[in-house]
Amino acid sequence: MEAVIRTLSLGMILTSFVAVESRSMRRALYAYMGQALLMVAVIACFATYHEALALWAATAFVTKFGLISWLLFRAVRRGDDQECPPRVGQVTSAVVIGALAIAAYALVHRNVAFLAPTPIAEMEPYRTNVAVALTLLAVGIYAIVTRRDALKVVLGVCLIENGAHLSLVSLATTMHETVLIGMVTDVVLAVFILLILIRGIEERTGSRDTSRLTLLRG
Amino acid sequence: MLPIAVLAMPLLTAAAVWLTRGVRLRAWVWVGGSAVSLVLAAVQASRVVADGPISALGGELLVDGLAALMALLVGFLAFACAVYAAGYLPGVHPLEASRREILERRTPMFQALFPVLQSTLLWVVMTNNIVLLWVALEATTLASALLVSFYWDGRAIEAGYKYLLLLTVGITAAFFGCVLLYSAAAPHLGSSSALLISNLRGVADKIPRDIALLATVLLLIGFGTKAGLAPFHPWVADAYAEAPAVMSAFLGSVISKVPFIGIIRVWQILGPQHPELNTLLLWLGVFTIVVGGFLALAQDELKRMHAYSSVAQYGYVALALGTGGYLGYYAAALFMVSHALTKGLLFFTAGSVIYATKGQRSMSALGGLGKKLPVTAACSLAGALSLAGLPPFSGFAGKAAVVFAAATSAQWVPLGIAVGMSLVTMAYMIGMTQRVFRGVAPAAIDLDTVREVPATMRVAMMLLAAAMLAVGLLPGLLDPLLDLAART
Repeated sequence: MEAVIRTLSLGMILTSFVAVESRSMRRALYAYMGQALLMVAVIACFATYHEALALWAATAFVTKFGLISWLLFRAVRRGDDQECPPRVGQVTSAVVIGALAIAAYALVHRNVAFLAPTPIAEMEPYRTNVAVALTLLAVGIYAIVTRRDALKVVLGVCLIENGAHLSLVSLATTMHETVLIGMVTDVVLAVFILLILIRGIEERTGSRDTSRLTLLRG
Repeated sequence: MLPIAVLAMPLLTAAAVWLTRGVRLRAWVWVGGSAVSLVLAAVQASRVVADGPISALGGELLVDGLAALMALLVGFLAFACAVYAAGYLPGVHPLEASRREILERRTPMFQALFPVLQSTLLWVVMTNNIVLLWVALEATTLASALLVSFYWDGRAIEAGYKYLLLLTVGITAAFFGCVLLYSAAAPHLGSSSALLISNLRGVADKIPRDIALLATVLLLIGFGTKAGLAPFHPWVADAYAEAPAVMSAFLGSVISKVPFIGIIRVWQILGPQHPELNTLLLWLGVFTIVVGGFLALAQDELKRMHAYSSVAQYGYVALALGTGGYLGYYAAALFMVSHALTKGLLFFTAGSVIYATKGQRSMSALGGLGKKLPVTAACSLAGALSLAGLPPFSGFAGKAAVVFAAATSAQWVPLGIAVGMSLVTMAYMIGMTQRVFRGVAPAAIDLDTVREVPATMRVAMMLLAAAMLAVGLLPGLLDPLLDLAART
């Protein structure tokens, strides 16, 4: 089972790269949907160790693969399929994302006792899962900082939320489902409202390019 | 049962508002619902003072002194906002007739969503679940994003987008902090009990030091971003300035205060075990006071100045908490009450000036409005004096309490900086009053067309001014609740 989880985890990192780097918004969305399915599979694998996680896998399927993908798909279908040019080129991005993944793995494996609050989180495959979660988090933040297309920024938020969701498998396995449902509801609503605002931006500026948002100085 | 009623009443109000036809009738349904919510919060506060904390839903909700005080504050400000909005919303953007239709279409959404936002704030205040505290805080952001971008022009949409994006990402740090805290406590308490904040204090000494510090720093980043503490404040000015005045007032008065509930809860759990956390919070407070103060001084736009000034005042809350102990918590609670009343009033007066001058936001384009807007001018002066910490207003009591807490804990350097920055506050607030209400009106405004704002807006301003005066003149008025809040 550990080997399966490792393979699925590698798939999650690859899909996060494609979701951020693909210039076609549809392809980026398909990569995100693939990642959502991989996450469901990872959580289902962990359910063989801890049965309660089966419900978590179902929650992830309904919200991440179902609702969020549907919301994003509607937004992509309405607008331009081509992403606004990002601030960083593809080669540099590949190097940075690779470095982020290596750094996350190194950080977690060298400092597992510091980062993991429970003995179980220090063991495999829970430790690898923390590293993957941290990588998704870092790639999501990287996407928000470097992408100019507002839909790509939302995909970055979704990657961060996937990382947060995945981390719970290692850090808070025993957490009650109602708390998890509250958490994912927040995420779905955040994406829904962000997409409403992005539609407003498109109506005003004719583009999803956030570099045109210069009316305010912060 | 009472905490559930307090939580549910704004939701019932939202439903009633949504189902009512006609903008004016909806406004009064909102006012009525807010009044009932305020009465419920007041009854709840009196019960807590008389009988101690109230628990509901199997301990998921816990109303202690701090929660009762903040629920009362949320109820009072929400009521004042509803009254102000009854005059303000039907006439927003009077110059832009072409956009009037869009705003009229969006007004029912605003009127119904506002009580929903109130309910999420009450949830933050009363929840006893460490992870649901994060969920509820994120819910306040979600409920408020569309209210911030109500005007639906380029600036408002940009402000709403930045507000939602920055806060959603920022508060993820707090999520990891909550999860770490829960996970570290779960082996000692069991999975269900470890979620309850009231249980966590009992095992604080069993949480490894590194985990405790990491969790606290993550929580401080998340809650600090939501509160608007420097350096996590870049969203504050845009959101406060571009939102309708009634929303700016709610943001600056109570929405910015509820994240401090999270900070206080965490500090009460881990602070006693790790005194170095107090030092961190204290200096973060001092940094925020300085950054916010000088940014406010440099502003020409009225609401942006009030926004940065709010950032500076949040620093005083952090400073008071950082001094630790009973006095620090008492001072922080009193200062939060005082600032909520004062900043709510100042945003109301700023909204009234903008309303009366048909959209003029820049102080350099304003002047000589005192005679035309006597109630607004008087309330603005009262708010300015209170914010500067002068008697007889609540700001004096709040700042005196912070100074006393810092002096008692011998924090002389932070105290000196805080007092010095109070002079900066005084400078820009008195400057604002002079520029807007005295002198000669510039060519940008035609004084003959300026009229005092509608009665409900004036009533709301006078209500907050009276409350500010009452807390300033009768500091014992809230003492039973403040005492309980500080002992929580």
